[in-house]
Amino acid sequence: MSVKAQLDALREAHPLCEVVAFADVDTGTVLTVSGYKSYKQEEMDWLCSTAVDCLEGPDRDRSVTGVDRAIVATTRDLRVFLRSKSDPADVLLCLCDPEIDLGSFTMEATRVLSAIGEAT
Amino acid sequence: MSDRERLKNALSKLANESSLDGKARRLTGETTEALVLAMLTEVDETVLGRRLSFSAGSRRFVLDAANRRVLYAVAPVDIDLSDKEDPAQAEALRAGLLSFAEGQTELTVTTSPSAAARETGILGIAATALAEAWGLETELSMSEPLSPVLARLLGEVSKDVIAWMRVQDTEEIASDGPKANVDALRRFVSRQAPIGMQQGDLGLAPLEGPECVFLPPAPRRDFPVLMAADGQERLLLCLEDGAEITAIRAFRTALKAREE
Repeated sequence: MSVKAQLDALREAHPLCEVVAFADVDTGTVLTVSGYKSYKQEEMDWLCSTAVDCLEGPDRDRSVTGVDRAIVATTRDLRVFLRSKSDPADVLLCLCDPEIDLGSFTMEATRVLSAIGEAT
Repeated sequence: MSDRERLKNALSKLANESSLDGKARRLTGETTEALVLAMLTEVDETVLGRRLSFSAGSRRFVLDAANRRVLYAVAPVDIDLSDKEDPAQAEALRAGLLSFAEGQTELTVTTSPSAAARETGILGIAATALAEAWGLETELSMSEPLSPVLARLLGEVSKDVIAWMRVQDTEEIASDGPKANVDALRRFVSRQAPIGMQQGDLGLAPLEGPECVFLPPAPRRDFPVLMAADGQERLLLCLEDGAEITAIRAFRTALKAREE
């Protein structure tokens, strides 16, 4: 199953997940996106940048922070950022409706990221 | 009572099961106004929802307070200030307090958790505003009340909070909890932290609020952290393990309550 297909399946299982993307945070590159609509590159870059801020801090030093998950809640959305255990540069970026079942979604997204790591 | 003692008392009241709950404490004042001011001081030192029961002999005056504000008078008068600033109701409260304190030089006060105070949007009338309106000379309030969103968040998750810190810009306003945890939060904010907490683990810059960021335990930090921002005000919570869903839900609820 391709990375894109796995992201699509995650989003279909959780319709309140609006967009999920697989990114390499070392290069700041969003590699694959699955969303209900097409997103501008700047939007995805911004999401990736927010994830890096949360997971690695201003110095971009993950050896210091050791954070593998961050959840940002705003008035408009919930953003879930997950780092792969197999390759710390691989991160899943998720933008969700605030009403999403966060526990269930985070668990499933973690499983998907793990599956991607095993396949690549 | 010194500022330090008042601060200590105020902070201790933030715990869900405050060490002050259920213990009668004595308030004294040589005039009726001084006793009313002492009662308002109790309100001013109450951040999380609490029921304050004042006793003078067989008489009682019971208030629900939160966020340094009076929300309800429960007995012997029934006054609801929880969702409005009503001058007539405030005047009724003043009359009730003066009547209760008149002729007394000493009262006792006991506190207990108040479900009613925790369920409101935490509006009410600030103790400082009442004291000022009533012409009482006061040195109340070490700082402005927490924003309603952050106050409500703190109230909702208090049972899962090990330590907390209130930050305005980058200045620490108040904190409470075990020293090790508070120190960790302090390092989190200061950006001068030793390895493990450096840079606050996350970029402080993206948070302008109202937003909150949850970070699970990390290799060099054995507790999860929730940082919530509303304007320039930030609240950092060191949480019990597994409290993330509750905390994020509480933040969302607080935001919704304000929007409504």
